[in-house]
Amino acid sequence: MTVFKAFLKVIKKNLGTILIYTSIVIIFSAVNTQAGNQSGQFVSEKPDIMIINEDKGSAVSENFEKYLQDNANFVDIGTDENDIADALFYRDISCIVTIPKGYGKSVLEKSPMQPEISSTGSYEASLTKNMIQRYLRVQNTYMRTKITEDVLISSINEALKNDTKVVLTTKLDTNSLIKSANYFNFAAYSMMACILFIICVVLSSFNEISVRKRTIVSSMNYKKFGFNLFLASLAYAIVVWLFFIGLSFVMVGDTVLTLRGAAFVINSLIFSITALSLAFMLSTLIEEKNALSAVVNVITLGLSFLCGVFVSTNYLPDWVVALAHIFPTYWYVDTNVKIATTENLRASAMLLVTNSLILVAFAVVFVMTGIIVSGKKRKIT
Amino acid sequence: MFIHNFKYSLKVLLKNKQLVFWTLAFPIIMAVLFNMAFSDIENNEKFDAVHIAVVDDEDFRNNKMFSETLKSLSDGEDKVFEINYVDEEKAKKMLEDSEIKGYLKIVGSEPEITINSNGVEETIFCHVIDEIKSDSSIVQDLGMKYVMQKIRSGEYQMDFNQAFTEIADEMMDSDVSVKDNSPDNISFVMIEYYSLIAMACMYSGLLSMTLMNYRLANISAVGKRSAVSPAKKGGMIMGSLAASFLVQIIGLVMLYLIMIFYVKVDFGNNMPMIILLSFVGSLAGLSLGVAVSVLIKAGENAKLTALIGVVMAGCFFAGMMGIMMKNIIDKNAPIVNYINPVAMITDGFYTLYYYNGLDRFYIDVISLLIFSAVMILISLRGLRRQRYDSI
Amino acid sequence: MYDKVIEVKGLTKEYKELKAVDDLSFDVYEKEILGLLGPNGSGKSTTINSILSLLKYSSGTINIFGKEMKPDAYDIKRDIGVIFQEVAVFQELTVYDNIDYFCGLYISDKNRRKQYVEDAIELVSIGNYKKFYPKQLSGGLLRRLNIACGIAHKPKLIFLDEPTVAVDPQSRNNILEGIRKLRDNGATILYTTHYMEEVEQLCDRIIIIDKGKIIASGTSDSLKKLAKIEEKITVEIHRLSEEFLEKAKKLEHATDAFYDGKMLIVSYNGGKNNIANMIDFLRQNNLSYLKVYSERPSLNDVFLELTGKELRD
Repeated sequence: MTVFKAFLKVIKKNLGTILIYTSIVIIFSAVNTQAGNQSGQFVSEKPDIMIINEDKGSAVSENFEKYLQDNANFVDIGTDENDIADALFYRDISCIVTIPKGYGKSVLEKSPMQPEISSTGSYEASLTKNMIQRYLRVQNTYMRTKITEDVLISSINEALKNDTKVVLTTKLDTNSLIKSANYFNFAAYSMMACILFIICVVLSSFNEISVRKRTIVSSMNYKKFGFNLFLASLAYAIVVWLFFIGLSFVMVGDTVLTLRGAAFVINSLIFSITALSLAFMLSTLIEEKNALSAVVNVITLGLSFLCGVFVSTNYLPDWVVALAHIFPTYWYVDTNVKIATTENLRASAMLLVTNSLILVAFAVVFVMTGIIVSGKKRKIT
Repeated sequence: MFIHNFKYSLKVLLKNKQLVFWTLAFPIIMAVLFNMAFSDIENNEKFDAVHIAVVDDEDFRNNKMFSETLKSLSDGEDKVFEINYVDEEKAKKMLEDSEIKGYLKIVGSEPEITINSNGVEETIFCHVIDEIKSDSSIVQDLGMKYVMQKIRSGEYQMDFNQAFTEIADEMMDSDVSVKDNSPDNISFVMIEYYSLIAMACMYSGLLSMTLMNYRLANISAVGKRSAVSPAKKGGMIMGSLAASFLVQIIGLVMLYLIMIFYVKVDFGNNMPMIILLSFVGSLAGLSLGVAVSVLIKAGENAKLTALIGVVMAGCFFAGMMGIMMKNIIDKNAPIVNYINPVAMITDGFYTLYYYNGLDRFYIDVISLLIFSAVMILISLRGLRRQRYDSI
Repeated sequence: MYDKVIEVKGLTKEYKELKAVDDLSFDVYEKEILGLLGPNGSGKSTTINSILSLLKYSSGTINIFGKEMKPDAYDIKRDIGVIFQEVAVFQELTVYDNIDYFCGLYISDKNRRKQYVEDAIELVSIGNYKKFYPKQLSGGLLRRLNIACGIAHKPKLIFLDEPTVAVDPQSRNNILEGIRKLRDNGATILYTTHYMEEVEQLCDRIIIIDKGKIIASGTSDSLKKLAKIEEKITVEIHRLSEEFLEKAKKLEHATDAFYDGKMLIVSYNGGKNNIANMIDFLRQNNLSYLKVYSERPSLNDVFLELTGKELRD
């Protein structure tokens, strides 16, 4: 019982730190769920753009504007120049298209002015540019034939009718699945931080030489003591895990109760156990108590950055991804992504199981290392 | 007295491993991690060829417009598509395994596209197929009109093929260029590094907080010992703050060196303003540390946690854990960022990098100065107090 | 020269409901060691902190060296040294640097300071630990460092607030030795503690306070006279029935008797042949005993008698 009491004491003392890590994941998930495509993982099919038509009143220019509005998401930023500039920088819009004054007249006079584009150079921006160029080609081709403004416009619109038959095959609600994967990925950071920090503090206080002497000579059986310590740590890790599962019902509740949701939940349980064993190993390796928060921070942040928690592995350089394979977090994140994107969960079951086994293997290695190190230390004192 | 305190304050700061880690090492470690995580993110944002499949059957091979255009689009440096020519079964399988984004099948003379979901690459695929289709309809339309015109004017002899080719060529040659006004400095990953510098600035609070704890009689025993000595409080505090500031500047210089020469962060080119911003930002951090030391009644570790927590929350709202966060706050609750020094420092760097004018930069600097002044003012009573109600 | 180094008149300090110090007046004379004695929470530290102008007090006047003590009385502070209950040193500085730093708050001349720091190190015998950091020191060494930091500038008036808490006997002797040396060198010392034997050994004069009030003062001997008992006889005896205990209480001059299973302790308020009478009493009743001895009452007995025996927090 003393072991559990000591645990509670340490948790109480470090409640502030735990609260910080938890609130970060709550805020992040909330923002991520509300802001939808902000995470950059999933982008709507139409690019977000801003159109500035300085040539209002000209039928040609307005037809151009209407074409862009139909084929892109028109985002109204307002007229403040700074707001527009900010929106472009932060990718609220992928580009700003300006139709210059006198554009319609110049087309009718067969020497068209150039529309202006200010872009971020992103996918969406190139898509918009392609759309504009397609329109211009049609317009300029018809422009050269001798026809009236009305005929020109109707010919353009006729030619640009998009009626290619498109078959959508997916049955997946990719959007909400990716949101869930993001939640669980981000939880990897907070769960690991909460588990590593507290357990390292607790275990290393028990490991401190004076305390260790006392436990070795005390009437308590060393094995029983170790077992109690293990139980208490496990209980704590499970509580942390349960908390984040509970939170997942609030944040991404719609997917948690599905088969894929269950897969996310199981994956996170295995991950929390791996984090627990990592904590055990670290507590035997770190001598100085003051260094704990530094080491824990560097490890949790480092793993999160390199393994795709903060930045999707799609966006990481190849060599970083290759390096990430040696960390457990990578396999956890990889499993989440696979759960969210695979078309057929049952067919991919083997892949998921393999990933989980790798996580378990990490846990075993951490525990073994911890046991060897602490065994050596016990002999010395 | 100033020099005596300054010298020993320096010794204290540099010997405290926790402080050295958080203020000097941690920002640099983060910069290196950021560099690993973000170095590719904007290259990926740029266009990569879309992987698709084409059902390679009779109908497709007969449709010259599609087969030839697609062939030219999957050629060369900036190709649009990476195309697999396969049968329908294989294409379906590839789509299921996410090897391709979608596949094209020509039914009669009409194209048919099969895709999994709506994403940018799928959209590009659809757009290009639409374009080929509308181009060919224009050629048909104009070609027919040309033929009709010739017939109406009594000319019956003509080379149809050549006429159509001419129209197609003319269409392809038409000038469709767009004037590109894109800003040069558009790399939004820079915000991450800016918020990191902002964090480093604010962590100077840890330095001033640690020293102030040693200065105040109601907080530490060392503070009591200083209070009963004939040394004047003002001199001791100034010596401590000067030492904190010096250590902070050393840390920032190291961070800048790493960022400029290793990470290659672009700070724009207004050096004096960058220095000004770093100084004002550090001032905000130092005064926050003083305020936390004086105003929060708790143990040293609790204060440390509180300060790190406040700064980390500030970093979060300033976009360090997701660049969009800063923009969301700026748009919806700008006041939150006006009182968040991390956001103001970040915004200052952003303004220097992205904007041409300095108006917004000065607003950032002024709000940082106001923040520092407020922190100092609310701490002043605690700092000047000589006798306490209880110790 | 001033005779009264500290003059405290009518000092009162009230926390919300509690009067920590209640109309306290006393003087400290030059070159004496005054022991301020009292149980935990009796107001000792509050008194010292008020004298040092660290605490606001409700009423009263405090003069040191004949001048009013105020937070900005720098010329007074220059001649004061304080050793607090808590160890007040920088964890990040070495033993030498700590002493040099605090000494530097008083003495800016570098050469003189260097000598002073060496003197302080010698006084508390920590010469072998100059380059050590506080966390490498044992409890006793840490206390000695704490003292060195407080007295390195050779103050004329020294406050010591329980400097020997949790210290091993060797270090304690070293510390007490040091304090005596300081007095011999001409310093006036105000010493608080609740270790009676230290006070008996060290102090010229003692003030006992409880609940913020002075309940007794004087020299060690004069205080002992305050005790109602004059002699205490202890008998080591293995078996003693109620009957004989009652009889022992009725012995001549006895005021009380007490048996704990091993020892019979009888208190007397006078009489000259008490020990002979006791031996007679034992022999007459055929009680077999191991040892009999007589003691004068200690300061501890006086202290307990004056402040009551209930536990303090």
